[in-house]
Amino acid sequence: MKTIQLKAKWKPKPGFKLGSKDIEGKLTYLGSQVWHNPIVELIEKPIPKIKPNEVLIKVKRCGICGSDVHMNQTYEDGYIYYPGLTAFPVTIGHEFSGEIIEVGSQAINKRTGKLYEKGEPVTVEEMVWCGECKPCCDGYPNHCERLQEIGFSIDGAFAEYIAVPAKLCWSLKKLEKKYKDIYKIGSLVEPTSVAYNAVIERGGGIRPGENVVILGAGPIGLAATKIFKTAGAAICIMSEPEEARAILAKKMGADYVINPLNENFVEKVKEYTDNEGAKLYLEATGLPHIVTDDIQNAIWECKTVNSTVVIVARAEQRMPVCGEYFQVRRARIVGAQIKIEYLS
Amino acid sequence: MYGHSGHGTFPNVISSMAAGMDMTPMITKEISIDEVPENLKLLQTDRENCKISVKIS
Repeated sequence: MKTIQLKAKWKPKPGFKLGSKDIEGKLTYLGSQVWHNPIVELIEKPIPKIKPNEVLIKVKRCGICGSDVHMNQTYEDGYIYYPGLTAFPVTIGHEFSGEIIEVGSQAINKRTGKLYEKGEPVTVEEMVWCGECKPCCDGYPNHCERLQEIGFSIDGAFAEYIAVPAKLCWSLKKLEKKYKDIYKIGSLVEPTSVAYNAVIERGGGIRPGENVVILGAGPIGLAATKIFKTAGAAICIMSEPEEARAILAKKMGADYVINPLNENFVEKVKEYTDNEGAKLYLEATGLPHIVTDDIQNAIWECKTVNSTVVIVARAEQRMPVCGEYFQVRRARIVGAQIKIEYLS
Repeated sequence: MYGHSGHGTFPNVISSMAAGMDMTPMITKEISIDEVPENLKLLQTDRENCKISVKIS
């Protein structure tokens, strides 16, 4: 079958120490410290065989993620951008939907409580948690001690077929009523879930009637826009300098778009919210050294108390935080890492 | 840490989509699997696209 494979040279930087779960030459939790000169190519691989607890999926759609771009993008010294769990060579691709065509003897469908049937349309979690280590058993699957990731450390979905544990599959059947192409929207479930996890789960979400401000109209910022409007945000403001992305933000439900390059961010937030400000500010630009002042000045100059700033985007730069503003306004900053890990 | 698993997130997103939360405007380009390598390069600098969706079958 056709697949898109990424390979790179294992070339640890000086000072790199093999982690306790790393495998020399093969797998590391610190990708950007080790992988050199990545190559992405279309190659043939055999169709995978399934285990009793797995299903074989005929992949219909798979989206490209920023992390896919970053596994292939290098700094001047040739090391990859992507700093997280990686095991190369690997078939990349993890935002996907498809049709089940083969069912293992223990592959249970959550929708029916019985074995999966051929033809079931599904999307799949990217994080492969074991369900048996302490974090998993305590209810924290994202912190699994034996975590693998589809499209990063095990073969992913830029491929005609993929074998996955049935427990990671979620049926798309209920999308059939509203959508002609359930696989197209189905492939957006995974990236939307990343945004949902950041703003609802980690950021605490909002109540109907509250305001939100999002900085950065990339896929996460745009998904968050739609999620917030669905959740009942009264006013959703997007800050984004690129025209094309600003238009998309409006399509996703943003009430106002600020161009921070030629408008005053704080003054516009005050104007659009009657000086109230927002309950939640989502930093999704990856430019904390540029936007932190805008965010904290908006919090300071507006009236809302108990705001949350959620940091979801990549940055090596530090945030220049004015603790005073956060104390007096009872505001907090929360980190919600996506798969691109940003540790200063 | 990161992630999206657990806490009802995946099924809630699917249910929200079924109830009308349409995320498809995010898809700005559709390509075939053969075009993935060149588009990965494109996205290193492109500022116009949001989500590129690969039609595999």
